[in-house]
Amino acid sequence: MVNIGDSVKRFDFDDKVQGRAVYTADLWVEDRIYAKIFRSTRQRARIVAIHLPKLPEGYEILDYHHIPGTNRVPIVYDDQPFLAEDTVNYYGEPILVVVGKDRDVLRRIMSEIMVDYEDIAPISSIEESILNPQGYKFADGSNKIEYTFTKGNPDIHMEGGEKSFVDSFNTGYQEHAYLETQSITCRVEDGNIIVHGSMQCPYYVVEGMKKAFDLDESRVRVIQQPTGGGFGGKEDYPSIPAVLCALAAIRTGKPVQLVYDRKEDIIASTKRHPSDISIKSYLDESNKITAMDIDIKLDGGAYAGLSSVVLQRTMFSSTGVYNIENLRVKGGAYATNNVVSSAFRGFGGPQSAFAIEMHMENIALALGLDPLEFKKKHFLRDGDLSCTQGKFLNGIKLDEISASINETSGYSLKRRSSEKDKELLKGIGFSIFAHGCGFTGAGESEVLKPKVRLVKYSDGTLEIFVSSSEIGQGTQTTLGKIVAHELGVPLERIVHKYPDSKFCPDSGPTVASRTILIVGGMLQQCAIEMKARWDEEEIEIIRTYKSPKELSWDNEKFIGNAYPEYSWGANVVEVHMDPATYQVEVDKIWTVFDIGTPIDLKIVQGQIEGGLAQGLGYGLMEEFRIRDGVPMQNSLTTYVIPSSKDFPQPEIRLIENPRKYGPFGGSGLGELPTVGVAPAIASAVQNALGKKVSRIPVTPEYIKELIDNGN
Amino acid sequence: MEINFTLNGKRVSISTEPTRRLLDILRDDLGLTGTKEGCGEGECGSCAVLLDGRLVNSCMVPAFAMEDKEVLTIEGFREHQRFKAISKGFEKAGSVQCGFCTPGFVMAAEALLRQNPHPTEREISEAIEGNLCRCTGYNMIVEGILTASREGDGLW
Amino acid sequence: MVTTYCPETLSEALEIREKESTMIFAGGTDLMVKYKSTSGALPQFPKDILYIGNLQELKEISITGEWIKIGSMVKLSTLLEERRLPDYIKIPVKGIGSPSIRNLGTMGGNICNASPAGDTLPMLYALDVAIELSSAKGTRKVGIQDFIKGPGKTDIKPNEIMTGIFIKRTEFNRWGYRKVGARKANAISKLSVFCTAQIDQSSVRDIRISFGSVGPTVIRNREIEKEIVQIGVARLKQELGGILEAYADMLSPISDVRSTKDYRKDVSLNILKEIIEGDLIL
Repeated sequence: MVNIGDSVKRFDFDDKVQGRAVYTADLWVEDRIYAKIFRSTRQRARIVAIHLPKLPEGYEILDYHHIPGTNRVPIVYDDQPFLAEDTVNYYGEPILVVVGKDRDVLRRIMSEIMVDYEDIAPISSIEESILNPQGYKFADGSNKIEYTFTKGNPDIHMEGGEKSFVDSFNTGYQEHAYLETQSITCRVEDGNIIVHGSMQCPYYVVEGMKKAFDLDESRVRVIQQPTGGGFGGKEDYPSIPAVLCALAAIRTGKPVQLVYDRKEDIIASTKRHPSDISIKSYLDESNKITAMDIDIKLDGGAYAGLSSVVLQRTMFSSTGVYNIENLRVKGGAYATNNVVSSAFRGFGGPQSAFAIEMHMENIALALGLDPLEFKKKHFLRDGDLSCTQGKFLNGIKLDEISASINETSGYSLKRRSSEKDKELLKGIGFSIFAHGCGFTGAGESEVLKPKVRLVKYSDGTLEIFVSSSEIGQGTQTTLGKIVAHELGVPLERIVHKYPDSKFCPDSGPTVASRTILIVGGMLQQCAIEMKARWDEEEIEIIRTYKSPKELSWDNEKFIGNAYPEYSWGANVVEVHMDPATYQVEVDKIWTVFDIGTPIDLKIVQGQIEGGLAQGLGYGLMEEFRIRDGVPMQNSLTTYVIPSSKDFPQPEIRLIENPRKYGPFGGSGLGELPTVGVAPAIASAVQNALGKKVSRIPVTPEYIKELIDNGN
Repeated sequence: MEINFTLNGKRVSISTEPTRRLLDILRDDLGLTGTKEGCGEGECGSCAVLLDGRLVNSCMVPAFAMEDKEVLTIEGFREHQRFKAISKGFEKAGSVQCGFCTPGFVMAAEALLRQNPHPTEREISEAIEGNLCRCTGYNMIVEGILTASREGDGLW
Repeated sequence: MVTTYCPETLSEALEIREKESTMIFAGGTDLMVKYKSTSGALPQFPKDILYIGNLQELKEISITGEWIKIGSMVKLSTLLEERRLPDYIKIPVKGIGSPSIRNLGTMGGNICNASPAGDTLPMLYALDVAIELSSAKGTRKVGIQDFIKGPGKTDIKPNEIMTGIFIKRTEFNRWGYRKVGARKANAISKLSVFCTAQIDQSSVRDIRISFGSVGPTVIRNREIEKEIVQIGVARLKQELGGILEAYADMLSPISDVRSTKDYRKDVSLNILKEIIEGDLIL
């Protein structure tokens, strides 16, 4: 009996290893012409005049006037223009599209375009926005998106509490640094727009096209090509290069390629939200936290876009895996004249996990308690409600997870003996965390309404039609396995191509750790139905999502199930520090995850190891700083991501805990490994140094600061 | 400028601007798109090819430096026995996710194993230090190369 | 569109240098980045190019009784494979870039680029290397500390080509080198410290100490080195504080995208202390 988790050869393996996979920039080498985006070199300014050079024949320059429909990116808040109108609001904002055949000529034209700007005083940070709320606002007239929710009776408990502890934390930007930059190609055929691109969400691009060109869906076709990494950076963002590429294709009647240079991609594409999070906890005589007051501030950048959703997740993740009965969570995503912050693996989760895990550890240390034991005292248990008073549909295995990781890593023992290790600057850190899988609240059933299509052909092959995008996470393979296993057919009979909006229904975006849980779950239901009708020669089944009846959500008060399901994990990281250089050396990493039934063990391992590396980069070395409105890091030389020599291979253990509503019991995994590792490493450094670490990345320069300044 | 060099075992003659990057010659002039552009500044290794048997970033090599050289790209290498061993190693170890960096890593593996058929994990890690990957965290790639060197014993 | 000259011999190359206004292109690992354009477009070189990659005369490493001569076009990877070269020359080279960078890059290029963060430079300054420059009119040698004039600036004349790097063969029985970057591989240097010495039982016969990325050019001070020779082995440890203070006054790092001046200064001195206590005094 073959276990679904047993690894198979990935569907996309051969093409990728042989260099045959056709990424977007590999298309139409013979016929294409090129589009380049001309961008703002000011942080915030009025565009007074644009002086264009004389253009050779066959070259065009396009601006927002050429957009026939609505010049706004449709993504939750429709506030960002595809091309700037009278003002620019962040350095790198797109103003013009230059199109033509020869890239040397395009480069020359771009260098000859002159813009007369009239600078406007920018708002460059959360602090500046708070001090001057009129300074810069989102399109709805406010300088921030804000929410508050409560649970229990926070006010009563905050007055009467025995002791209280307060901490403030700060996290910085993170850049996705996918190896393939934003890439789109587009052509017009019989009045229809056909887009091939590097993307996570073909239907978001369809929406962008409809809006910008005032078109009906039938006139737009979007096809995802093999995509060289996404991590959230190709969730909503590709709509912009896609529309600009399409604009060029429509105007010239030629197939157009628009591929970002690395510098352009780093400067202008979306980033992880920087955060300032403060937590105040009130404890009773038995050292149990009775109430928490949490304040979250995110830097949303120049346009609101997805910030409301990221803010919500940051808020819903703010109490981590702890049962806090009395709670107030306040959150704001601020408008600043910085690059737009948007989706990035974890989507607010990593920011919250850092804050809550470090805060819990700090309280434990202040009380002279073992952090793991203190955290354990507050673990959510079966029957407890989440911070939004939602029930957990599946058993909570935090005790098992923490016991398992404590056993393999020896965390508690090592913490106790760490006095002598302080001499050697050794430290060990622990984090435990969860990640909600699926769209927030009732998003799956009320916003996305995802659909899937499964077809059986007369020759016995089966084809999956979903909009889920293979971006390296193994979706093509895992969804295929779910169908094959449910039907009991060999995997070779499954066809699962890259999504094409002409044939694939909208299964929702490839985000939020929802693909296996929701889309895979729906495909399993299709397969079950197909099995019952197996004698039919040709079968087509289309299913829409039905939310489990146990789930409910009040979107006004934020009460109920913030997410359809959760995955859980813990990390322990052992480090030592170089006393001369303050560099952190990661000696060992242990991980334990509860992701329900693994659908493919090698794919799971790959996601864990890769997600961990991205989280370690976030925690230790990745810095994207904006000074005077201009990003300081603009290349892969200056934006430093981990190399092959930086981190050891982690130990991985999986907890068995099949999910009631996951396919074969599976749950989400894509984001979880990135969510929780930064606090594990920060607390290891804190342990080694004996100094409070309150921000990430924990660079050697920051460590030196801590040592020099004391606390 | 006319450049004559050997590409994947065949003699080629190209007429091009002397400063044109080898990467663009391969991808745009010759349609060999297996070699990728990840950064254009020699930092990521996605554009790596073998030049006279040595690993180089093709984004750094101008046409004028190509005269009489031998170039091996993924398109040429994938016909070899040794490629099959590397491919098998990568398959077993789960070394491929989004795949964009993969051809560069395959070429780096070949370059290493030519010089050192039985490398240690540390030596592998050093040999690929110029290749960036954002998906895997590298260890499964090191594992893939190690597997290739063991199971492809005798090929290098 | 610039003209590219690809001479086959040194004398051809020198003639071109004499007649035309050119920039010299060796391995290209700095120039192709510095002048890179967008994908598919040509790099934007400001001058005509003189490519010295075909000049066999510049690709030799020769070792005589007194001298090591490294041709300016010797690839970094070739240098690393040269068995006759001592480790203290190789280790700083090993820390440069990555295998693919080292397969193209040259020591000559690293010197002429004259970056304050150039990885070979602290070692070359410490070893008092002489740079050989050739022109159609003859050759001259100049000490590296006089050859490099500032960030990106050297003493090379418009009609000259750097042809060799001359390292005097010296007995060193102790050495230490550390480069600090933002990650463990393929990183631009935040700072580096290089030290070689000849130390016997009781005396410091010779000591060289140099710092990279903490000033516009490499920092090296012969006065302090002479002091250390005076101090000798027995008192070295107790005098260490004074030595570090003396160097502290000389280091003038800046804060930039890579690091802060406080970090660079502090860590450079920490590393020197570590090298002296760890590698030198055994």
